[in-house]
Amino acid sequence: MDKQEKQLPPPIEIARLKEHFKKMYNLNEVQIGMMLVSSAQSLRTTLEGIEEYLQVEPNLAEIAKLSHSLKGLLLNMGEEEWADIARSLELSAAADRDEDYSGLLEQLKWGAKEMLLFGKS
Amino acid sequence: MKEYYQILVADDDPAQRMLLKMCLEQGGYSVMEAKNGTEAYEILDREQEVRLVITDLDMPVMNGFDLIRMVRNSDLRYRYIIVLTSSEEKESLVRALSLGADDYIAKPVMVEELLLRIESGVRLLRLEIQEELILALAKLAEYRSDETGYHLERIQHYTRILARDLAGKYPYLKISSQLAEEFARVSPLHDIGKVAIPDAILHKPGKLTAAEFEIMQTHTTIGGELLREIQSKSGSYYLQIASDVAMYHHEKYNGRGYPEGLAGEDIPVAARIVALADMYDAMTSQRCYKEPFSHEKTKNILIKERGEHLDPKMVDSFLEQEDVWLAIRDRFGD
Repeated sequence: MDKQEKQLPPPIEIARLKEHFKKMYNLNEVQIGMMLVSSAQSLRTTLEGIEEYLQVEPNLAEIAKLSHSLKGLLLNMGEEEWADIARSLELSAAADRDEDYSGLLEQLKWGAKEMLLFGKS
Repeated sequence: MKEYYQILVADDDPAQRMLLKMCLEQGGYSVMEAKNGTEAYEILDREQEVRLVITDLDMPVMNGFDLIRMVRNSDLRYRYIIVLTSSEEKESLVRALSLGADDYIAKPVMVEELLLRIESGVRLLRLEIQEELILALAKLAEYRSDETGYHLERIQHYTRILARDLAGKYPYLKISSQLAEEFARVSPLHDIGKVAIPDAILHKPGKLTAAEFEIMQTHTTIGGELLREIQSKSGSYYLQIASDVAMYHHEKYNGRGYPEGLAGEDIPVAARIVALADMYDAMTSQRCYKEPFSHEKTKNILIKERGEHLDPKMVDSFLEQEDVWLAIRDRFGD
């Protein structure tokens, strides 16, 4: 993963995300807290969904839909570079391309690791 | 004041719904949520005060496209619909707009842009409220004429089905589906000039004298000029049509009508349509001076007036759809 990490955007950080919600959406602390919980849950649900559809025989149509949702979620979080990776996943799946879907998913999971742990106790 | 306008946010992603809700509440709006198109439609059917909708396109159960189609094809009150889209989804956007969406906003949503687009929707809905006020005035004029019940609703429905039928059969008339709807919307204003007619003439149970009839005839010019005056200040196309209908709905195809003796295609098409709608309704309704005629008797009169009082195309359309006219008459009976 080391070589890939150099090419990948920096991982999503909660501190940066808090600042994004405050600056772009003028949210207060309580609202930011609620958005972090909700965004983390949506990220988990979406990434787990993609992983499930990659089992045995990949369901590319469903992966394309989930990647589309993931892209929107990442854009709302201000993570445009990660949203681009989700978009690549979406476009490849929608076009039924031969692609390293598991690899792309692992990249996304790596980038979102701090968020994926957020709120899970 | 903004809380009058309730907004429905439809998106399957809870985080997206939450974010939009927070942004809209900052703008002073009240927000309801739906996680798919089916839930959204149920809310719109139940909650008449929800006038603005922001919807994602890709949702489970029922997607945004089907939601837009259902809302536009139903009898529900008009809702201003904004779609959420990604910047590269041009085809989806075109499809949503062609189905009847009013506007779009690209993700990621900027708060300022979101609130400005909502305000555009609010301005459009305010125009509809003004229209409702105008129709309320038309209803007052009808009450004064003792034409109670569903007269105006029937006129609107008759006008709508005539206009839509003619639009399909005679492209040279240039009646789009939107224009057909405008004709129906303004039709209740056809007799607004009657507010200026003295009671003694308006409610006379017997035949009017020549002098009285001359006064009664002025309801066309009074109504037409009143609407034209408002139209000249507002530039509203809707009021231009209304003015033509009020002014010319008593013109006759053979040129022997009033107020100007226009003939044939010189009579604005909206006025020719409303002329038949009004004639049918007047004949099949109770008036202070007569009992209602049967549908068959009315139909025979309309056939006799084909090419004389009435445009032949209008009469032919009525004959082809008389079952629908009967159904409207029954459904909106007084």
